[in-house]
Amino acid sequence: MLLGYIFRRILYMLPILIVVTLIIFLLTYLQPGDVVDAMCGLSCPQEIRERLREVYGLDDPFVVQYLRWVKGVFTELDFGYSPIRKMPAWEALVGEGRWGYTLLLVLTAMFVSWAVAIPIGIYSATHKYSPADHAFTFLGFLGISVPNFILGLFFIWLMVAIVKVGQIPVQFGCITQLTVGEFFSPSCRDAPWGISKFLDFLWHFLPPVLILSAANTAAVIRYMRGSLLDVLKMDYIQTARAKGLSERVVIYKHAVRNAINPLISMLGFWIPYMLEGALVIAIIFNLPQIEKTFIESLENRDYAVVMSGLFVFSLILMIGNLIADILLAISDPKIRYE
Amino acid sequence: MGNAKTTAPTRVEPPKPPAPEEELGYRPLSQRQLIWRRFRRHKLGLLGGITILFLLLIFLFAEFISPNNYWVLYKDYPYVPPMITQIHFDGLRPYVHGLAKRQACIDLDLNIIQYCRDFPPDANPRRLPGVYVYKETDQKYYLKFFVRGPEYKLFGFIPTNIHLIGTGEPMRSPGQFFPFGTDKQGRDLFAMVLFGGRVTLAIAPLVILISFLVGMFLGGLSGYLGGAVDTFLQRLAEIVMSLPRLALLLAISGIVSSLGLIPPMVRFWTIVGLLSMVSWAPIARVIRGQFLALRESEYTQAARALGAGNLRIIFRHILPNIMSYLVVAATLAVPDIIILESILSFLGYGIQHPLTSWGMLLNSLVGEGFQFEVQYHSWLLIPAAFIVITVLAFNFLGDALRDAVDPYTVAEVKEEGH
Repeated sequence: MLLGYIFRRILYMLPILIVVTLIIFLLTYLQPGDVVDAMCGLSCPQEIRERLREVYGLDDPFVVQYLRWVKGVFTELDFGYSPIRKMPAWEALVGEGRWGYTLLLVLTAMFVSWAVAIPIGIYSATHKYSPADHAFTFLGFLGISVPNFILGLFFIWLMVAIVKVGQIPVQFGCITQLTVGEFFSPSCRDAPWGISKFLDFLWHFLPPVLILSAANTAAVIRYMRGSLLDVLKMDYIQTARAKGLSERVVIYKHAVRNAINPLISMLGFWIPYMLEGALVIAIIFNLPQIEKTFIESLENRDYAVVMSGLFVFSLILMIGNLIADILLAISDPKIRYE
Repeated sequence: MGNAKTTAPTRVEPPKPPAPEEELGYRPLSQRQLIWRRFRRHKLGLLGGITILFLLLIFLFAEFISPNNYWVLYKDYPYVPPMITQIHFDGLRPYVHGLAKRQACIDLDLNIIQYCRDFPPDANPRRLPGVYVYKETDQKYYLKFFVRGPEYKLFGFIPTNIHLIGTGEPMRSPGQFFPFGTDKQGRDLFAMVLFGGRVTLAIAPLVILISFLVGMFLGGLSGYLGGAVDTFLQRLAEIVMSLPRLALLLAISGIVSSLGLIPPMVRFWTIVGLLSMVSWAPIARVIRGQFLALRESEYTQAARALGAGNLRIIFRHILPNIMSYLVVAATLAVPDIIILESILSFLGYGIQHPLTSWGMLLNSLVGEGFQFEVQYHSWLLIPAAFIVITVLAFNFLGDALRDAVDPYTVAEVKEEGH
């Protein structure tokens, strides 16, 4: 039953995939300059030019080119060649463990925001209109309203201009200086793993995670509070209380279990925001991620890499939505599998 | 809900209907008055609304309010720190001291940054290239109101040179007034913030308007016609919503700018178009839901029974009833657009010179020199504060409007004894 649902859900991704590849290919197709210009320059003799056009099939009809491109992408991740980085575009984008850092940051941020927000949401809903609830509500409002790229800017300003981290004397293992940005301080980057390198990593890794998860945390708190308040008004909660169940069981076993479903269905909605945030955070904190390569390639007009980046982002989004839907199907028995 | 009643602008009504008040012992309120009454109770929402009106007003008169023109490069005065805190008073007359640019040095042991020659002889100062300190000369420059300064065109067509405040000194004079300081090229940050605010706040409503028109057309079509049209448009909206919109916007914008130099206003409309392209889908879904709900309502059926056509039902019966929801949705959609536009401009793919926007002003903070800039020229972050204030104001206003428009939430608040 569930497997069938997952299968159908994956089939359902096909039209999205077609649109995404179509858009990406259209962008590649329409942009000025082509492979020939990139390979032998503008002063290329007409003869070689025509040979190359023939080899790369640039004179074929649009649909043929598109299908050939799609085949290349899905069989061997062939997005073309990056003349600036002098390697295949796909390699240039995800190489050197960059995809790992992207996933690590986004997944950790997602996890942190839920781990922080759900308990706060439960507390807020069960202690409605208490001072703490008001404080959390206000903080939540702030978290939603302050865009995370500004949070990132302010954080770096705070560290660099106010706390002056560069001037705090530190000497611990490989750490010789506190720095902001990137995942390691320069002195730790090539050092072997140890306690000091790990601490250095945490010092650099946690701020982006917290900043990236701020908006999501605020949103989850808000929805959790609202959803739990709605559930607590239900008759079956009253029944559970009337049965003499302890308040703890009523809240956690009956109410929270039901209140969390709408949140999971919102997960698919938040993943895009998370990825957008990760893109800007990667730039501000200068993190060695896919996103940074994406922007750099955009600046260098290295469009083969840009297109593979678009493809990766769409893929992450689609998989994220898929996982959210599967989670919802598992957690909410009411969901129909049709 | 008679249309004649709802269009009465204020609670002062024409003397026509005094009768019911006397008979009933209370005053009947129109829907609009009820909404206003509920809205007024939201102090934060009111504050948000007033903030937005205030910002709109000062942005409209940007050139008049700022002492300098935003496009002028004061090459002699790069990186002037904000002078709004440097205003002195001679009795009641405000004045600023003249500016004298000096090379800055830093002493790491003493941890002070000042003019290189001011260090004591035993200190060990190091030059900071690109960082200046401005010594105040003894010369006082009085700030005058309605002063004649640089020439500009008010609203783009009234040529004048009167500024709200300023020193009235010529361009190379040391007596300049830069309330928020200047940037690397010596442009007045205050003037740029005001002008950038105008651009940012012009883009958001335009994008909202376009995406609402598209969303209303497609969402209305989808919700009213149903069937295959509905399924197709819903799938389309879902596909658009599952695209990585920021990356896509960046890629398209990058390719467009690689086509060559385009006029700034074309660029402006390109950004508006791109932003609308990604924001119509969620709006269309909201509108579809509303249409679906109202399509089967009794008064729609009554209208249909009376022989009203589709267009009449849509424009006379459904649209007026979802208008308040649309206003709320529009207000709540503004922050998202502002943030998206700011990110685009921040990364250098949005608004471009000679236009400016808050995100673009922060663009100088992207890249290698970022930490250096933030450390020594932290006033360049002022536009970020404006983004936050504006987004907060729109969120507060939108929340208050939502509560005011939706009577159910208000009933709930009343129940809980507020």
